[in-house]
Amino acid sequence: MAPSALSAADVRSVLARAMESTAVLAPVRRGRSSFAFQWIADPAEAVFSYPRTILPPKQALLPPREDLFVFQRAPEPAVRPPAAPDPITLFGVHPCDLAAIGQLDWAMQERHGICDPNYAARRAHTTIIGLECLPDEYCFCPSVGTAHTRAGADLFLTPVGEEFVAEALTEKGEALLASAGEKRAPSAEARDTWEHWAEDKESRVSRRLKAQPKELPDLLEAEYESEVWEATAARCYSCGTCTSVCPTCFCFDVEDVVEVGLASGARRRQYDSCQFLEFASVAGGHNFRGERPDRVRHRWFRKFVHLNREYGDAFCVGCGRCTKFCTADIGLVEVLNSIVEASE
Amino acid sequence: MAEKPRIAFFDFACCEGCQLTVLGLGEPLLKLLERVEVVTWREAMSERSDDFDIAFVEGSITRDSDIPRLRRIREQAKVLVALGTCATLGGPHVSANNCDRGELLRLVYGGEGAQFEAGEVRPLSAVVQVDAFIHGCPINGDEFLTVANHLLLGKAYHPPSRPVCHECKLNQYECVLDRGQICLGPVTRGGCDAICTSRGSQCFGCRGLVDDPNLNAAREVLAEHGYTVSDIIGMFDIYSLRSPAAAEARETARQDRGAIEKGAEPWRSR
Amino acid sequence: MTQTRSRRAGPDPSGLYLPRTARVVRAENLTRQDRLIEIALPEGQALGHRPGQFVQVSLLGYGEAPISVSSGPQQTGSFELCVRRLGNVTTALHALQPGDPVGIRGPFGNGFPMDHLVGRDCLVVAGGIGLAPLRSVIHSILARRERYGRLIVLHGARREEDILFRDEIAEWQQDPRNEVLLTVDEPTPGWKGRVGVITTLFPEIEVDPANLVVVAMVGPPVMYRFVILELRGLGIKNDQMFMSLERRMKCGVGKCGHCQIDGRCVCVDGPVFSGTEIMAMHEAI
Ligand SMILES: Cc1cc2nc3c(=O)[nH]c(=O)nc-3n(C[C@H](O)[C@H](O)[C@H](O)COP(=O)(O)OP(=O)(O)OC[C@H]3O[C@@H](n4cnc5c(N)ncnc54)[C@H](O)[C@@H]3O)c2cc1C
Ligand code: SF4
Ligand code: SF4
Ligand code: SF4
Ligand code: SF4
Ligand code: SF4
Ligand code: FES
Repeated sequence: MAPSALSAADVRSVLARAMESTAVLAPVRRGRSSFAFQWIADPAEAVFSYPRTILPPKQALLPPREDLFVFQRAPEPAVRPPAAPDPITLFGVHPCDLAAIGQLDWAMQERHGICDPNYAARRAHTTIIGLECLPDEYCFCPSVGTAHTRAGADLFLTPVGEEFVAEALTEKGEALLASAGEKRAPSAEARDTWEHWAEDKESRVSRRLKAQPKELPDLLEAEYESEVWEATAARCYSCGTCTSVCPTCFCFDVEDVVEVGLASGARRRQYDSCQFLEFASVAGGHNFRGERPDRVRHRWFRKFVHLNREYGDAFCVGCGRCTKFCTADIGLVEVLNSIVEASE
Repeated sequence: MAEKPRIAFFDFACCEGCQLTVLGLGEPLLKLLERVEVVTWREAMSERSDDFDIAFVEGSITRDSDIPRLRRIREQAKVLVALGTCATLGGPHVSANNCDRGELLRLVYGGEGAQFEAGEVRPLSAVVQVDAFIHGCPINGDEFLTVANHLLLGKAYHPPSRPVCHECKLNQYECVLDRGQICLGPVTRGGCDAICTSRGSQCFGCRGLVDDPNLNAAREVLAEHGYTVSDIIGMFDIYSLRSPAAAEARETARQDRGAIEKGAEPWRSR
Repeated sequence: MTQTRSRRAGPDPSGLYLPRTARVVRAENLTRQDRLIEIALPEGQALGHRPGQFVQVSLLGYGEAPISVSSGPQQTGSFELCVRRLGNVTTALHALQPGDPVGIRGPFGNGFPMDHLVGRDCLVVAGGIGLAPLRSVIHSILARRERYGRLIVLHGARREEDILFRDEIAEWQQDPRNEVLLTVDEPTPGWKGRVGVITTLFPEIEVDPANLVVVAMVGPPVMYRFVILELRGLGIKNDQMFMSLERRMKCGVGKCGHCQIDGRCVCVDGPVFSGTEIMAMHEAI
């Protein structure tokens, strides 16, 4: 499909159209200098340019807290699946986060041949509007091959000057694009910027992995006993920020919550983190990863060794969130590179 | 279901802010009151009774003369719940333990200070066995209701050991470290839903330290952010996070897990 | 969308996380901390498990816990769980009485390789509650006794009163093809068996390592290490040992991440792993 041009006002009218039939999650300003995805009430709330949000768009598909099902305890126990989720539109999803949704789809719907029904129900009614971006000092998307991802988006926007170049990638995307009115071809200048975006993006990235994702499993395995884990753990709080904000992390805890009358309740899941002390502890007292270095190593191994082998690619999309938001300023790429260097 | 459990509230040295939080719960409190019978609650009613099953005890122990009273409560209660950080860890006034007591009394009360009894500030667990801990200064009302539900179902309640950062991030609050402030969130036990950072304030550590705080990291990282040792210590001392009393209480709370399972059957509703 | 690719675990049509409401048929205390609970699924549904598989048992408001099926697949119409009281869910399970509802998901996991046992001797190594899943293997063997060779059971418990299934053990011992050796950590007056951890039983047995399969579940990782050393000492190869491993579990279906050992999910790829697999993993034992 030939790309077309949209003005900022056009994009807002696309959003308004999406809001007629779906809930829309879009990046908004948060605090003094942060951004967060939020369910918007007005297209004007959405921002069109942002470095990264605190939580990734994953929150719409795998919410931080979600009822797996609701139940009634009395007079007779009964369980009921949660109400069917509303259709949603994710607006402003960067290429790395698009790639992450692809990875989550695999983990939640295909891995082990088992499909998570709650995730699938939300995912099945999701429309995605992607948004091109330029990297900041935390991004390393080219190192993990996600910088130019389009897959997963229904409509994809590239900001060029005051305008956007829009590509409809699915029928849903076509329909959204049509809601902005008569199609308009981008100017020659806009088209030129759009065509050179990929090179420009790559050239601006400053963080780089010193190995290919495919080489990492063996490189890391060889450094299982490396002192890097010990050294990293010495300043890691085990605060779980890195995993909460990661678009490809999907571990969760489950607990029953009951209302005060004790008659009804819900089995609820909530993001968990392999960095927490209790993550691998069992009743009776044994903790299989009770030592902080073991937990630290687990995070890198899970993403770059185990899931990397199983999925066939690093389970990381280079969004830089874990590093940007780490409360102890621990760098994901720095740790990996120190391993690569040690093995050279 | 068995008879309604009889509930009593007591307080020692504290500001009673935690009981106020319970009183301020509104609708859910009324619902809870359908399931329990409150027999003693000085802050809320005039009747009182010494026949109760569950005691919520607020405040820390500061005078030897408090000890027999607390022991009597313990003997009567099938379940004793420490309500609020004063009760669970000693609270902000543990810092008094670092001062000369006579000096302090003179400073606060002038010449008449000498007549007051004031000893070492201790959490309840330093004197009696505590079955459940509700941290917070003040407590989080939702957590109080969760604990009440646990007790009514006969479940043990383990306060989460996840740090405040977890809840802060789940709510997508902007990190105050980015604004150059000290935040104790990474080493502080969560459960408050990061209420302070939601308003742009930092976490002062009112719920005490997590089970495995990395204090070495706190020192190293905060120093890199340009803070001096005394800045950091000052922050940790607001809730006396470094005090032996708080450390001991934290350890007791960890070891005592499951203690409640022994005595909670009367309220099993199934 | 990709939902078409979904495969639901188990025969449960109502969804991956929704428990089926089953009923307690019988419940009795085996020891001061272990309770045997017999359960029937609604409408006579069969559980259809293999020995070594587990179910997610739940009580609404209390939560869920993975518990091994302790009865053999030959038992139809109901199945048995042996539950040790350790925390919130297991304590609530101990209060169950006949007729009470209980939530069941599963069966989950791989189970022991029963085909591999046919025609061979079987050495069962069970530490404490580890006898619960292994009893399912034992029941399978006893149900088709002629298909299998010798059955040697080693069971260790804290004290004499903690030994599980004492009546059944006496029955198993009636058959000369079966041998049961018991040991306790803390002998009480009158105890005539061995004293010490389970490895103290190994010097007492004679086996033909070439024709033997070992099934084991023994407790904390360090016990597995000792047991593997003893088995090696007897000349048994890694690929002849099958061990059930325990990990924290939440979902039971390979999603929540809790049970991971290296790259494997204990709930889906396990809980039973061969000695070869265990030796190839960093975190297993
Ligand atoms: C595959 C498998 C088979 C098992 N079979 C049996 C059995 O046959 N009999 C038996 O008595 N016990 C068995 N266990 C152990 C049993 O699951 C735990 O004792 C139980 O989960 C404790 O739950 P709780 O709520 O009582 O304890 P709590 O300490 O209150 O635990 C809270 C939650 O943590 C998780 N958890 C805690 N300990 C464990 C653990 N050891 N394993 C997995 N998750 C845990 C559970 O989700 C549990 O609901 C098995 C465990 C696994 C993994
Ligand atoms: S965010 Fe940083 S300090 Fe917190 S657990 Fe992750 S690596 Fe450790
Ligand atoms: S590991 Fe870090 S950089 Fe990679 S996807 Fe997760 S948050 Fe982004
Ligand atoms: S914990 Fe805080 S709010 Fe509660 S009584 Fe003590 S000082 Fe007051
Ligand atoms: S503001 Fe405080 S609690 Fe929140 S993430 Fe930052 S350090 Fe953690
Ligand atoms: S954010 Fe920190 S200081 Fe504020 S309530 Fe929570 S634990 Fe207490
Ligand atoms: S128990 Fe959730 S992944 Fe295995």
